[in-house]
This record gives sequence, C-alpha cells and structure tokens, in this order.
Amino acid sequence: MSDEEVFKVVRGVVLEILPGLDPDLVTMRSSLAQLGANSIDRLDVTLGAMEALRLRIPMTAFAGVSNLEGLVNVLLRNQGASAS
Amino acid sequence: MNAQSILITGIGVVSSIGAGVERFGDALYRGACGVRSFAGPPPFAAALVDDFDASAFIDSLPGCPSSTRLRAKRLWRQSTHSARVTSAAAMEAWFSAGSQKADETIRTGIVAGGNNTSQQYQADAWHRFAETPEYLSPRHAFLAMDTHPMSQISEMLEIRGFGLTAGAASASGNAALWNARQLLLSGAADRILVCGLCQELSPMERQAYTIVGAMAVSDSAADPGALYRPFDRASRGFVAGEGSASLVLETEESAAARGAPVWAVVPGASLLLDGSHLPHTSVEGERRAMTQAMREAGLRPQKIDLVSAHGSGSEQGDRVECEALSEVFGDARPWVNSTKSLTGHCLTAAGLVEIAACLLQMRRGFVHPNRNLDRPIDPRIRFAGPAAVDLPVRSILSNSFGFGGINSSVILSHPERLDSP
Repeated sequence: MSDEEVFKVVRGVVLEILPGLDPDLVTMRSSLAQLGANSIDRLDVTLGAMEALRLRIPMTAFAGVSNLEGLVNVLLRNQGASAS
Repeated sequence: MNAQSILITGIGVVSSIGAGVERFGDALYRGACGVRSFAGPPPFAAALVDDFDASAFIDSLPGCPSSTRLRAKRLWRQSTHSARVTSAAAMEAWFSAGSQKADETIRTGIVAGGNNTSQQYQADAWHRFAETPEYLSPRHAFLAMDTHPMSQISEMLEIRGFGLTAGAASASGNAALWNARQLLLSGAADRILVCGLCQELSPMERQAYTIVGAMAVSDSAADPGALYRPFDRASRGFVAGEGSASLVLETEESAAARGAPVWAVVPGASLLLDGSHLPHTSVEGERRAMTQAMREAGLRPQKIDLVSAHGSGSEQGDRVECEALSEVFGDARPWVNSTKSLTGHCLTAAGLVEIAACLLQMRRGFVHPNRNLDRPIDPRIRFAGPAAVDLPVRSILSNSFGFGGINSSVILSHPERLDSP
C-alpha cells in the first residue's frame, strides 16, 4: 500500500470519529488535537485505522506521533503485522 | 414541603408501539402490539425498538435548540443503543416541560433507573475482544457502565446538579421515581429528570429468563402478537420489550415559577423488600407496597380508579398480584390493566414507561385495553377488556416488582380531579 492509500483510510476513520468536520481540513500535516479530537478520539482513530487495514501493531509504536503523517508512517512501516 | 406538592411537568417516551408521547397515547388507546419475531440465532419474539431513529426523533422536538441537537447527534455516534433510546426520551420530557437550561437558581438533578442495561452491547464487545483484543476501544471503559446514559444526558442538556442511577431490577423505573420524590421532599433539588434506562438483553439473558420460568418460549410458527398474555390462563411468561420513558418531577414552587404544564401530582410512593434474593413475588410484600403508597397519599382504595398492574405474565407472579389486589381493594374493584401486554416487558424502564401510560390515560380520560386476556385467571379482578374504556380517571396506582423481592407502588393523581367525589 502507498502512503496515499493509507492516508485515505486514516482520513475516512477521522471523519467517522469526528462527525461534522470539514473533510478539506484533514491533511497529512493536520494534528488530531487541532481538529478537535480529545484523547479518546485520538486513540479511536489509531485503533480504527489499524482495524480498517487489518494490522496489529503495539500501541508503543505510536509514541511520539504528532500529526497524521506520523500516524501514516507508523502504519506503513508495520504493514507486515497483519491480523490473521 | 408536603406529599401533595410533588408534580410531573414533562414526559418523554420511546417504545415499540410508538415514539413520542402523543403517538404512544394513540397506540395505547388502540391496544397496539409491539411484539415481533426475530431470526436470532436463536429465534425469539420481542417488542424491540431496533428501528428507532433518534436523530429524526429529536429533529421533531419543539423547543429543542439546534446546538443541543448537534451535541446529541455527535454523542450518539459513539454510544450504545440503550443510551440513544434513553436520552432521546429524556430530551422529549425535558423540552416538553418548558425546561431550558439548568441555571443556578433552579437546582436540577438526574435519577436514572436501571442496572445491567446494555447486555447486547457487552456481548458484542466481548466477542470482538476475544477475536482481536488489540482493537478494543478505550471508550469501552465508560460505554459499558450503566451510568453512561445518565452522564450523556447531563452533557446534552447541561444539567449540573446531582446525578445517579437507581438499580432495582424490573422495579427500577418506580425506584427512580421513588428516589427522586424523596430527594425533592428533602430539599436536595427543585427539579429532577427521572429516566428509565432502556435495557437490551443478549441471547444469554433470554435463555436464563426462559429456564428460570419467567420468559415465554416463542414458537416461530405462531402469531407473535398472541404470545404475551398477562393474567390469562394460557400465559406462559413475559415477552421482553425495549423502550424508555422519562419524567420531569418538580416541586410546586419550581413548576409555578416557570409556569410549567402539570400532568399529575405524585402524592405517594413506596419501595419495599421481601427479604429474598429469588425471582418469586409475595402477596404480603405487594400488599405492603400498595397500602403504604395509598396511606402516604391519604387515599382510600375507593379513590383509586385504575391499577396499572405489574402484570408480567409470569404464572406465579400474576396469581400473587391478583391475590394482593383482592386483599387491598376488596369490593372497591378498580379497573386493572397491564401496559406490558402492548409494549412488551420493558424491564428496567418498565416502571416509567407504564407511569407515562398512566399519565396519558389520566389526561385523555380512558383505560387502555388488555391484549390477549381471553380467559382471566381471577374473576375477582375488574380487568380491562379488548377495547379501551372512556373514563375520567382521578387517581391511579402503578405497580412494579423486581427480581430479588423488590416491591414498589406509585400513586398518580389528576391535578384538578383530585377532590371530586
């Protein structure tokens, strides 16, 4: 999967968790906090993206992620960690 | 403050026979039936509100500001079925009472009746967790709690007084009203939103209720509308219903200050235990609950026009309730009906759904029919028949009994007809 394809999945999950958000605001440089996500929404976006991509990645791998680009990169790096 | 000064000023209802107070009232008069067959697995019959559209419901609520609608819809995206149904009914009650915002001068609280209310949600979450524990949402930490709908309602309506859930099994609705009434009488609040938590069952509860002898076994070939028959000789147990009702309960002073519409006075209520952990009911416990509520209200049995029976359809429970009614009312013989025969047994919400039904019968002046009561088990009781009876109802006694020896009765009186002969 390319980074663009993974971003498309992440963007879909963000819009599901934050209904009513203007889709144009969701870019690779967006931070979830700036988009209005609370700490639980942020975890749900990470988990939702993993589930949509059928990946199983330890939550520690996401430490230090500050925007959607960072989230996409962790998901890309761990594409081998597929759920059975 | 005296017992006559606690008023009901708002009602909201979501049920299998109608969502919204007026539609619910029309369905009661017709004797509508909410029971349908479901494929399962395993197959079952129930009166569910699975097709309820909470967003469309609040869009039609007069007096609900658009900011509140938006907040509710956003919260409902990540919520449970139980919380959506409960909070939709709560919003109808709140705005119909002319309630706007709980400011500092009007001290408002929430008492939500119910326990173990989201069993299907829990079962689904557990199945998902067993397959893929990595994907467990952090929201599970609070969605799984019975307090979640109450907290969600406080966020939607910006209510910041006290809040709690009152668990009393199938008597939870009455227990919530009893609790709220005591809190108003004590001066702890001026106004309380009383909510009956919508309880959803999983296949495991349905099987347990069936083998304990309480729930009717559905035959997929039979008419589901004929399955639930409280007080009938052919009754084989209860049929689960889903739904919720909420009431705004407030002091006379608070209602007068807002010019709020008054549905009824709540002059008496009781909540008493049998001293038993088992599902069985007792004549003595039910008699004590009814007489204590009437004594508190200062009403003789002759002053009660209608008894909204617990009438769960359990063979033992129905016989015990008839015996207790005969002992308490003797020759007074008020009309008796069971709202459960229409709505299904709404379990933790049943008490409040049935009180909402009482209030509609009181305001419109009728006694709703009993469904499927072809051969009553007790000739001493004056059961409503298959059609509604027009009657100017003054006072009603509503029973709710729960597993574990929990007995509760609530008295409701018409605000103007109370003193008529």
